[in-house]
Amino acid sequence: MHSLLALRTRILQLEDILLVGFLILAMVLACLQIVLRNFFGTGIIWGDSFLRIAVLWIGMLGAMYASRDDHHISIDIGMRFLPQHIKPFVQSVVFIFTAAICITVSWYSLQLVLLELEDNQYGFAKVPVWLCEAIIPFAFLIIAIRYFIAALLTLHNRP
Amino acid sequence: AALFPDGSSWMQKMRAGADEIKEKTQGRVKFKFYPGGVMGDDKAVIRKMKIGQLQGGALTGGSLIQAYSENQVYSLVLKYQSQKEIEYVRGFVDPLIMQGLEKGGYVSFGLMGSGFSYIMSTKSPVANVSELRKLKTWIPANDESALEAVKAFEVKPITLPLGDVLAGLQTGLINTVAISPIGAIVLQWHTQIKFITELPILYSFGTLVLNKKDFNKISSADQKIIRTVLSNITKAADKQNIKDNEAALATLRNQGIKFIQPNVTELNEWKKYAAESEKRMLSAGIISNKIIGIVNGHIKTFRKNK
Amino acid sequence: MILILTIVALLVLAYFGAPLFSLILAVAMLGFYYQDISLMVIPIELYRITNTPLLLALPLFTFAGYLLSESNTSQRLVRVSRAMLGWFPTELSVVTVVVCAFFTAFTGATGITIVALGALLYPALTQSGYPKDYSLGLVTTSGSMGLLLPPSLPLILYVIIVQQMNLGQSITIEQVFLAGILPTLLMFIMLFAWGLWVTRAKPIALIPFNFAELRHSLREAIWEIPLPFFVLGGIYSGIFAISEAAAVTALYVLVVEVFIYKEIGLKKLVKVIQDSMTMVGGILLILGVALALTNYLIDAEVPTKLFEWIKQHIDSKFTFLILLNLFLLVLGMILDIFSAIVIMVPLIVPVAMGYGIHPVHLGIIFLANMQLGYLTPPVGMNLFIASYRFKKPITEIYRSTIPLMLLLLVSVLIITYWPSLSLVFISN
Ligand code: NA
Ligand code: NA
Repeated sequence: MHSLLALRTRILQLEDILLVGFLILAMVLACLQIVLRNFFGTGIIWGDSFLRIAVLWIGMLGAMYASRDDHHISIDIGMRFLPQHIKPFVQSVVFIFTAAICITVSWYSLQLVLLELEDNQYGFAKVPVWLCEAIIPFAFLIIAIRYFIAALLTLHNRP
Repeated sequence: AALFPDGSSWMQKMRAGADEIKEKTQGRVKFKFYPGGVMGDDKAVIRKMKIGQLQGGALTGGSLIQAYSENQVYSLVLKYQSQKEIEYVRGFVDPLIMQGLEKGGYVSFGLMGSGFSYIMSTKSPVANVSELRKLKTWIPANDESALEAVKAFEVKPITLPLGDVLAGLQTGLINTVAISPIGAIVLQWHTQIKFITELPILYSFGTLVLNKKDFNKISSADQKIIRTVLSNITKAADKQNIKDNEAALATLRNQGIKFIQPNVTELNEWKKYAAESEKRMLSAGIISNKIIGIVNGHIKTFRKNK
Repeated sequence: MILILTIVALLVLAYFGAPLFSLILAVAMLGFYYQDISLMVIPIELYRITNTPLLLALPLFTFAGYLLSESNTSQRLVRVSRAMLGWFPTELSVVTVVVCAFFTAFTGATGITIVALGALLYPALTQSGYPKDYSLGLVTTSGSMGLLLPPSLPLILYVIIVQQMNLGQSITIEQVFLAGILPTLLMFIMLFAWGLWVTRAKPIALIPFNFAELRHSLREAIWEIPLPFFVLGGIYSGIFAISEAAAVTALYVLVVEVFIYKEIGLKKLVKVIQDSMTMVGGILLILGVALALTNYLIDAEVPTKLFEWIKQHIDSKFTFLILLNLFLLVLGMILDIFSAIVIMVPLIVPVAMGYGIHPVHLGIIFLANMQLGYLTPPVGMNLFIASYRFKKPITEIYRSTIPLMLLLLVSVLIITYWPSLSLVFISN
């Protein structure tokens, strides 16, 4: 249990660093390209490719963030008309459904990453495509775990 | 899948061809088309062929490097002097490339040339290499052969998303591009261009391919029908592209764009740099001495008989 | 039977707040499963996010927008706007519409406008005395008209697609941009008139122009006012590309708010990044899975078949246009704008030209309708984005947006049935 909590802290830290890092990096790199072009007549050749992949990473990391407290876009009209004692059950069904969808996507994304591993295509500079794609299975796995835990907690903490 | 939009003459021919195949194979072989790049770029299409969503596609030579890198022999910088010359060489070398692609897992029905790219600039004419180096030259991100070309001439390129190029030419953010005449007109870049250098920088092509695994599931009689119909379409498209590029060049001339002819010294300088690039492609193992030898032989014969 | 049960189950899950992305994924996955296509197609489509034009603008403009909304920019903005234009009726709502439309023209996506500018303009409007519902609706809809203005990328894409078709009639980007002017103006006037009507009981006080107050307010906002000029100047002088404007803006705003106004500390900066990127993640995830769903619909040839079906039920230009409006509205609700253009334009243009509709006019109709689709309840994407950004229940967004959406619907109908409005500046 203790090591699990430690792992959780580590993952949260990693998310923080990656998300803040990628955004700042994307912003600085795009501005650096402007400076290089205007003052040195040159540019970073893989800059544009990197920025595109950075958007994917920022998006997936942001999506992981949003799943920390079920802060994803949803319609959410029905829940407030439910009686208190039924709410946790319905809520956990919704969470389990989301977790199931995410774990499925994570699995198939992993298959794709493994498939790309056979090729040595580059996403940008000398960074292979599979590594650029790897955020997809990882993010969906984390999101699935978070929704699964949320389901358990909802049932556990019901009034 | 195809990157051509629906309604283009090519897609009309493809649909007619698909009907013909369906009829001749009594409905055993049917085609579904996804034109206009709706299945994604070439890389996405190749991924989808791998997982079996798509069985084929119209792909650029550059995207098939993984299957058979020597197809890049046509994209060597300044290797060919004219459309006639490349046509002559292609007569002999196309079959080799198709064999290579087939070994790499793709059944090709022939190559379709998209024509030569030319240096087009908005600010000042480009007759020699040093004039090019002074300009702000755009190349597409992730385009290996374009990158090779600018490396060859020691130009510092500017990469921008495709969507930024037209506005970039307008504002002066960039002032030079290399593109085929058709491409320049379709993308509206020709509205900004003032000078074109009459040097066929590099030749690019596309090809219609089917996944070999899927193709082998079809009976050999049906395979034959498909081969005949699709290679006829490919040939027709190849011819049409030549005509379209000529017409596009004429349009560009007529709208008052200046065509720049490098003199002999300048020409030799261009070629000197281009030769370096060929050596690099060789040492990187992208193309082999063998195929270069074959191509050089045909070029020699062609130039002798001219 | 299984199909119906599944649909009902998904609707129930949606009703009880299942995340939208998981519902879209469920539909796409079921579809691919029945088409016998490997579900690896889902990550392939998600990865196509990396090929979407101008998408870097989403995280960077969102970040910049959050920074502005976390500092006191909206108060300064209101003060300048009042001082400069306070003599003009409902001046701030006019400013809102113009700013949003302009912003959309450059980013090519109305969703980004809502996220980036919404939280700045919404409090500005409510602080100045506009009703809450009206303000919410206005910031949700204002970006829409920008799609018809240069240098809107969807409009350029439309021209490129039409040019590659064998039509015997060519159109140019200039023509389509010219054609967008009056329709945009029409929508603008409609929204302006509505602003006057809504505030008729409690009109926003007009204040006479006061030079001293203007000078004070400008001095207060001396670092923020130059931003748009700085960015536009940079683009038009060729210093940076449109796709780079977001990065320049973000860096500029970061420096101004953190180091000059010092209204955001470094610790808060990290928080702002996390919050804004959570929003970006939520939206990008939806965009990504919507690509997957779109791909399923394309694979199953749903839009094509639907259009074929519509074609059979046309007997006049009038019914064609009515059905076209409906069809495009639905399309705007389910497809992203770039896919919709690429798939549908080649199908629709020849049919439309058969009814004597000019391809330039059709382009305006197409985009105006698509845009409206994003605002149409229950599933218009921009409504969800607004609900997400302003942390309001989706029902409240529906309520506040519907009047404005109806107004835009009327304008779209006028644009559709009055071709001269679009074509007056075009010679052939
Ligand atoms: Na926008
Ligand atoms: Na949208």
